[in-house]
Amino acid sequence: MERILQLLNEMETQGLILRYAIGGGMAVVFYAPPIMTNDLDIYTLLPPTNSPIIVLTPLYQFLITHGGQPKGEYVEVDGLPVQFVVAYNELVEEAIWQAREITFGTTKTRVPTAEHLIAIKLQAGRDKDLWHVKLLLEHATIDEELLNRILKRHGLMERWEAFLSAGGR
Amino acid sequence: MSKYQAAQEYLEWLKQAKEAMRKEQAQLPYEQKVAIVLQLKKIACEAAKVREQLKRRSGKSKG
Repeated sequence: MERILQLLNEMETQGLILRYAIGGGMAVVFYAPPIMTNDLDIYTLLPPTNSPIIVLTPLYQFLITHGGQPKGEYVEVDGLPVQFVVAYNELVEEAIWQAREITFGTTKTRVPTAEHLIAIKLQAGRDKDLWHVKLLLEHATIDEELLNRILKRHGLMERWEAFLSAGGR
Repeated sequence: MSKYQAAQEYLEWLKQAKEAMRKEQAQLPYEQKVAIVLQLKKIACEAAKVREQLKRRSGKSKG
């Protein structure tokens, strides 16, 4: 996976992407035990543009010209399908901006805070996402004040209470 | 102790052992955890291939 992270850093340096953070299941694994995940989601902020249309072709093309293999909706690098998830709301944007700097091998990268991941997963709300929330609550050190602020800011308190009352914790 | 009780105790032990292993794994460095994820993915791919082969074979034998 380190090779992918190096390519992502290169894309950031070249201005193809504004900023990224590892997302999805692979980000949950940073805080929790290993879980099965099929791909590597990359939460992505694109550079500002005048066009209302989001074009991801240059991003995938960059991976392909650096050894990636197109496979359906993904590009595989070193056997791992990579998917760019462009920040689709303010919560994901905030998660990317406030992501933690970490090192993978010798490569610098970022993962969202556990609190942001919980909020994103709670918002997505599929069974798999709620299971990820449980894993994060069980294994990560959670700043409850920060989590509450994030949940309130993004209108997720109702969902949070429903999750807790359903025995989520 | 009945066989039922013994089985229940064994299951409880298994559950606790699994829980302890998960807690241990959560503490591993991220690189190691990702390596385990990739291994799991590989195993799942292989299993899917075998399932597909078996399905085809059973389809052929029926036909």
